[in-house]
Amino acid sequence: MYHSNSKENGTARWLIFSLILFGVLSISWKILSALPEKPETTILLSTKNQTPKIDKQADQILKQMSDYLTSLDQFSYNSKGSFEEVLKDNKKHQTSYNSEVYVDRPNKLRVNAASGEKAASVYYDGSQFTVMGKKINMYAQASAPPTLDQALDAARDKLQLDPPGADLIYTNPYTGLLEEIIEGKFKGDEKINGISCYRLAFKSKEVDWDIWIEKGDKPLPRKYEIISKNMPEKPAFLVEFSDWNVKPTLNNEMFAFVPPADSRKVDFVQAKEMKDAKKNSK
Amino acid sequence: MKNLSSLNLKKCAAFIVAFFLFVLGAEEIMAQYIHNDEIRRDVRGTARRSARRVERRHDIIEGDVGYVAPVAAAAAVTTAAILYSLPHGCIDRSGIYDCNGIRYRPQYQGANLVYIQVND
Repeated sequence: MYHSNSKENGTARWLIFSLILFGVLSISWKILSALPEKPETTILLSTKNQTPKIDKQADQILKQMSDYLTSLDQFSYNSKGSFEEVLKDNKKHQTSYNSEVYVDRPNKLRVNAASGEKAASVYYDGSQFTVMGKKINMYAQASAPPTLDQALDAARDKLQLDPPGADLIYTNPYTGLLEEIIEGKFKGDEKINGISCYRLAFKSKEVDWDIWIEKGDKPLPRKYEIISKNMPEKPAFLVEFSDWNVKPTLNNEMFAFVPPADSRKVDFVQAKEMKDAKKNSK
Repeated sequence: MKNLSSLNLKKCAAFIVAFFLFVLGAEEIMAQYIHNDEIRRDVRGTARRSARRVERRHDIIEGDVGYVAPVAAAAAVTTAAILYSLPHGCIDRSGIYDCNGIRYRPQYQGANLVYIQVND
């Protein structure tokens, strides 16, 4: 009797012990899986160690486009696109826009953009950025680095400002585009607005992007699509380029901002102000 | 002895049920922390050149749409510290907009004009 009782007790103990173990494990698993992914530096390093699998053809076509864009001292294009935003209820919201972009290397940029009822111009004259809202007649200015590449980085990082298709107006788009790429494929021929193009598809850990490049002696980008994979809703950014002019008539006045009559100067929002404002809203 | 062992089994069963309820409860509590925005944002953190545009748009939107006028105009007037457009009836007092006693200063976030609440 004593023997069987201790046996039962032992079984019960084991049962309880294993249940507790199971519970602890399942909870810690949930905690661990909810933790943020490894810091960015680790991702960068680990991706750099991987050899990207890029089709020779895809690589060549992208390089040709990049070299062609690099060779241009001045160019202008129109871009028409849309971006999807994920709202708090996880629904996607699409916004369309149109813009004219004028580039004068090494250090001038002008963008006229319109989205819905809003219209704004962005100026970079080699020493400062200006954003001018046309309908509201208000503008903001900030000092800018001396080259277009540095200016594009600074505009995006400090002012949250980036012209549509900015990836393609760096001095060497090839290098920038292939950062982080793990796979690149040639997907055949497709027509974009009646123009014969090569379609290339690239994948990185966070985004998939496709680019359509014009066939022939002017390998210009005609369409560019980015899908973000790091959100379950996979929002897309899409842009089509048209009216490419590789020998535009540009003058300094286009890049130099002169405040219109009765316009009002305001500030750019600083990251800290935005953070505080968000805090206050909650 | 038979009585004792059945008592033990009952205890054991009660313990098991309690334990599963505890696990379920713990998950519910933890879910609040797991599914909040803060964590989602952390998981998303990247800085790829091609990705940045899309990334940032999400950051702006996820952070802000709750307070943006077009989405929740009525609520925005009373609670928002950031507005993407002003509600009707705001008065321009030398550059600061007075909306029912709450004052907003226009500022650019990128190429978008936003209105940030002025705190005294």
